[in-house]
Amino acid sequence: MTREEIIEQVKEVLAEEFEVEQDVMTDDATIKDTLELDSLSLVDLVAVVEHTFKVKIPAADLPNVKTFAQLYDYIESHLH
Amino acid sequence: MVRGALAFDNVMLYQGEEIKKLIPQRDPIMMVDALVSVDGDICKTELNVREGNFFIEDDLLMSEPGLIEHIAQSASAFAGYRCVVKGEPAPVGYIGEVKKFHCYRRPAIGDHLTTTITMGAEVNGITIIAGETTVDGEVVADTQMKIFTADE
Amino acid sequence: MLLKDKFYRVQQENILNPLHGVYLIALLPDADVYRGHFPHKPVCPGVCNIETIRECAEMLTGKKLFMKTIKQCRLTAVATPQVCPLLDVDVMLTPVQDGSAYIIQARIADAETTYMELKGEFSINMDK
Repeated sequence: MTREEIIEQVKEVLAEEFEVEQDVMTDDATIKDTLELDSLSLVDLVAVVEHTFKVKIPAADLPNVKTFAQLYDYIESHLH
Repeated sequence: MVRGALAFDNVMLYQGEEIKKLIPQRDPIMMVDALVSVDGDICKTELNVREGNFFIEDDLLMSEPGLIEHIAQSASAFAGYRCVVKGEPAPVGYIGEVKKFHCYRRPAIGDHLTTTITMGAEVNGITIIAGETTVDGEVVADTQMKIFTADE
Repeated sequence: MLLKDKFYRVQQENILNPLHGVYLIALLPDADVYRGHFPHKPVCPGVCNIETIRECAEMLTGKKLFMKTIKQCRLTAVATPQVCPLLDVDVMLTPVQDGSAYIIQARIADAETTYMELKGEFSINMDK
């Protein structure tokens, strides 16, 4: 899977799950603010990524996944 | 092997009084009869809908929140099972969120509910689960849920 | 109704319009459910608060409502008859186009705390 395909799929599933427009998910935007995440919906984010890409993001790694670009990096480097 | 449980390969059985080791709820609001099987992140539970069930309405059908409680207690039994096999006490869980719940039919007295729970991601003590309840193979309800686990 | 006068009692009805009502309820500390939820530690089962929302919506509409979908229901604080003896149940309904159901938005709160927020679709006829 190419990075472009990852980006496309992330935007698609997150737009659906969090009911936001795809174009608000710019590379440097913070995920938490853009998707209005709190402790409950953060679990949705982790679950959606795990379900879509079979990539688990452990709680310890979450502080390093702040922006959408960092999320794409994380998925790209952990994809099997 | 767990004391008081029957074990056949990955098939475990907790029922009757034994289920009380897995969940903190008691009468009149016990909504799981048995933990039937556990396989990785998936478990199956059962409940017979009896007369006098807390959630049976005047029309003799179960109210939809009864299904939600049954699914929540099924997940709680699963979490309890995972602790008990490690020799730890069963945790107390609270429902944090119910999401995408659908009820297709309200169960009646005499119905035998079979529920499949799939444990999903866990972040900071909040676990996401999926539950699906069937009667004779027909799906009567499904939902996602998030459970807070308190250390008690 | 399953829980009216058993789990809660309506103290006051404030009908803002036929599709929006706020019900002030008193939680009954002697409700039978607390024997089992949990022994020696009474906590309102979240599902009882969901049922209470439905019953308030039924009082508002005068119709039996089937809980077809809960899109999202957040339980934002633990409610107990000691912590929140009096609660406002705010129910707002929007009829769906063919008139077979209502989109419901509801909230259970007191002056300080929100205990539950619910969005869903309750149908009037169970078959729809």
